[in-house]
Amino acid sequence: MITVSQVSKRFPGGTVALDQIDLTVARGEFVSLLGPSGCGKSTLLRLLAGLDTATSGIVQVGGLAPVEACRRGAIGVAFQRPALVPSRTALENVRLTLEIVRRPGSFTPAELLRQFGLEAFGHHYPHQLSGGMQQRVNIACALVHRPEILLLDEPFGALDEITRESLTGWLRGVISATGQTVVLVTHSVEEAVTLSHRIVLMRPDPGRIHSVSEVPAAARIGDWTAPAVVAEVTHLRRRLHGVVPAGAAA
Amino acid sequence: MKAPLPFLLVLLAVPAAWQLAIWCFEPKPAFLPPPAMVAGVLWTERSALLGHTLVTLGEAVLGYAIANVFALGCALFCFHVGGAERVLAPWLVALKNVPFPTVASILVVVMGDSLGPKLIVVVLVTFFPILANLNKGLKTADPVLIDRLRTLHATRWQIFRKAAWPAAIPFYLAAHEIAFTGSIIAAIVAEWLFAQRGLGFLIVQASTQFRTDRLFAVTLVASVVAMLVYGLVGLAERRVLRWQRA
Amino acid sequence: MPSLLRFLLALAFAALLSACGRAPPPAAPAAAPAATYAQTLASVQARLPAARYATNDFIPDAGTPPPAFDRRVRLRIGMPWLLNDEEAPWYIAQEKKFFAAAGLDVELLSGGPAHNYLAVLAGGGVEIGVINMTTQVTKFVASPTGADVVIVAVTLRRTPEAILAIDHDTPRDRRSTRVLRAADFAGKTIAVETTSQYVMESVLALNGQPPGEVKFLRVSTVDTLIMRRVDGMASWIVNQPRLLEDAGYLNWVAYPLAQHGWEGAADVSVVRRDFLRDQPDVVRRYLWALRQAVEFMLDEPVAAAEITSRYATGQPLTPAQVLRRFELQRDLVLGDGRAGLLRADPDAIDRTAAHMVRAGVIALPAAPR
Ligand SMILES: Nc1ncnc2c1ncn2[C@@H]1O[C@H](COP(=O)(O)OP(=O)(O)O)[C@@H](O)[C@H]1O
Ligand SMILES: [Mg+2]
Repeated sequence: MITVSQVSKRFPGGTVALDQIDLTVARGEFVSLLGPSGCGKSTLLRLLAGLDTATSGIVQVGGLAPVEACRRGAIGVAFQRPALVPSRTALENVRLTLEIVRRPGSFTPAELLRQFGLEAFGHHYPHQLSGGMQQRVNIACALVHRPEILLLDEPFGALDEITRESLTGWLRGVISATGQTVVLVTHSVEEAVTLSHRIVLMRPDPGRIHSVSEVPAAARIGDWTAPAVVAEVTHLRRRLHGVVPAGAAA
Repeated sequence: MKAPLPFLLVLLAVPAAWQLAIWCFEPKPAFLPPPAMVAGVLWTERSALLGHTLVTLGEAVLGYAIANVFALGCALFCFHVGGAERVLAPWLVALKNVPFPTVASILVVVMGDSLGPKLIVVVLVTFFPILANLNKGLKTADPVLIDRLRTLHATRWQIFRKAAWPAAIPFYLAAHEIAFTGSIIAAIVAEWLFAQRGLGFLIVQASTQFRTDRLFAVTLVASVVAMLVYGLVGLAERRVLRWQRA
Repeated sequence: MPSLLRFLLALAFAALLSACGRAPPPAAPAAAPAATYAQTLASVQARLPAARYATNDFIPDAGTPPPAFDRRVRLRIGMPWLLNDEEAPWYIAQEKKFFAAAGLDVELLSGGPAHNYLAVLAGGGVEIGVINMTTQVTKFVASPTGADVVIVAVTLRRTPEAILAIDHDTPRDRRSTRVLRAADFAGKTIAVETTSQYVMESVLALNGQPPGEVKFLRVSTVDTLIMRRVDGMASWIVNQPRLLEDAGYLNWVAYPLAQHGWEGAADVSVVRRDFLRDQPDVVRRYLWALRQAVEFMLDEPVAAAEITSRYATGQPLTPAQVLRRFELQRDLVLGDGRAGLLRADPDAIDRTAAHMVRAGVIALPAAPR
């Protein structure tokens, strides 16, 4: 579904954000990009979303150039900061996506909000919603046209721990229902472990893939205290320590 | 009006202070005519005052509409053509700072005492604040939202309509507060410089006839018109931005 | 953007509405009086007679010796315009020590478009205001927000107002011999200021040219005349023709209002009535000095022009330019003769006031004022 081969990204300032990345993501797979700040996770995601172009290498989404995939409405994105129009209600914000892409099989915005447990808040403006609710609306905006691929960049990064945990469980439910291919950027090990089929661990300077690990099915559950989850989280966290440059952790 | 009481208080306090000043200092009516005298002018000359007010209002509103169309066009152009703003800005600033009394006499010579020169003065005065606010407002559009729209392959126009324009609306409305009232003043100044009708003309006429009472009456009418326009903008603002208080 | 569209539509609608609002006729504070000119003049003489606000009783005769005084007096005099050669007599009175000889320490205050020395005079900011035209004093006295002031002298006894034009049939470097008639302005455009339009209309009407057939435009630079944007221009015969000559147009022609029934007078010395009552000798002393200065200007134009060009700080002028003005204004200063220097004609002021009433420029007070 997603193919990234020999992709490098060098910014005008000289920063090499990505260096010779190879990655494939299968249809229906949930892949997390994990790593410390500045290792190029967001940059890679922006390449997949067609928001930026690689300096070299090839990025393909569903066999197409990302921009072409966008044109077909195959991509939905959600970032850390909800991209909502403040003067539109939750429902109108979800509708906004459909005002731009009309695809057969799209969700009904009201129905989607109902499924997301936001039925009572459809006519609320973003500033009237909590951070967690805003992010759910934001993800509804990304999903409503039923794109094949969902790209998420730290969607829960700004939320408190409890909300983040419950939304992680909620997202797993949503994705298992829609069956989409997902690439999630996160720096939360728990989030990555409990949601993903595979975790791509990245390291900075220059941004490279350090290792890729499969997550055992037993760890993809809602309870972050379950032994399988804890074991996997511990394992990954140790690996993560290895990629953080000495002294940079402080 | 949300607070009618303070508003009414001010409304009463002004003539009261005025009358009090007259009792205390007994100024010559050439400097400060008593309120009753001015009220007398307002009443006896009401139809002429109304006629001239409509002339001024017509010029102001028409010129302002033109300024809006130009400013919106310009802002759209700047939004769509990257770098256009930087190229245009110095020219617009130059245009804005044209000393229009000098331009006015050229205009009236070239175009005669027609609507044209007055509209041009109004446009010159009001165009720039509208455009500056629009450009500023369009730039406040959420980049994350714009990115999201780009992944939906939104056109530049759709990005303008769905993301940039809603962001610019509060700025656009704020511009009206300054520019719409400014359009009235601009029309008055234009008339004062070269017209034969309108409140500005009445001001020149009253002052050359040493009719301080009429001068005050005209000034009062002009202030009321400006206040009404300001109130109108406030009303529109509250209506359009009512989601903010939801 | 429905909201924007709606807004623009509303704007356009409002514009249409107000544009449709019936435009009032230009400048019509009162309905045109149905009375004949003679009737109007009679009302002026009854309700606003110039004899009440203009007096020649304080002007000394020619050859009067310097007046005696027991106390020097400080006198602030508001000038009619920026300090140029219009104020020549007052400079001369300073320079030749006529004011000093009359026991007056005089301060000349510059005038100009932003100055209204009638109001300043009423407020006590100056003791004497030199006002452009007698018509202005009439307006001030007639106004319910005016004040009680009195004309004590006029320096230009005939009005310098004229409709100036360029005779394009005469080469630029030659003086025109053409004589303009009122009918020549039919279908033409005349540049005016708000204060002068009614004057032009009245004079044209007096001379058989319906003013409705003439267009008026509010501009005031001679360039518009040179560029032929206007055919005529309301001007002072002593000012704008000289500007045209300096620009190389000797072929100007003028339609002097004084020769066509308009009886204004210019550079008018005005005082408050209470000042005249309390300090009549000061007014006498001032007028003595002014008279000496005017006589000097008439008798010694070369010396007078030299003094004037030094004093005229508001507008740089060569003595030659000043001399040209003296030449152009000599008859206006003299009026009906040397003996009557500085004397106003109250009857003429009334006749002019009657035209002003008919033009709607002033309203007569109900009772004599
Ligand atoms: N637009 C940009 N211009 C220049 N440098 C950039 C830009 N975006 C990101 N970078 C740099 O690229 C590197 C990777 O950034 P990013 O992909 O945002 O990292 P992450 O999301 O993993 O924290 C960082 O060093 C960052 O400073
Ligand atoms: Mg990032």
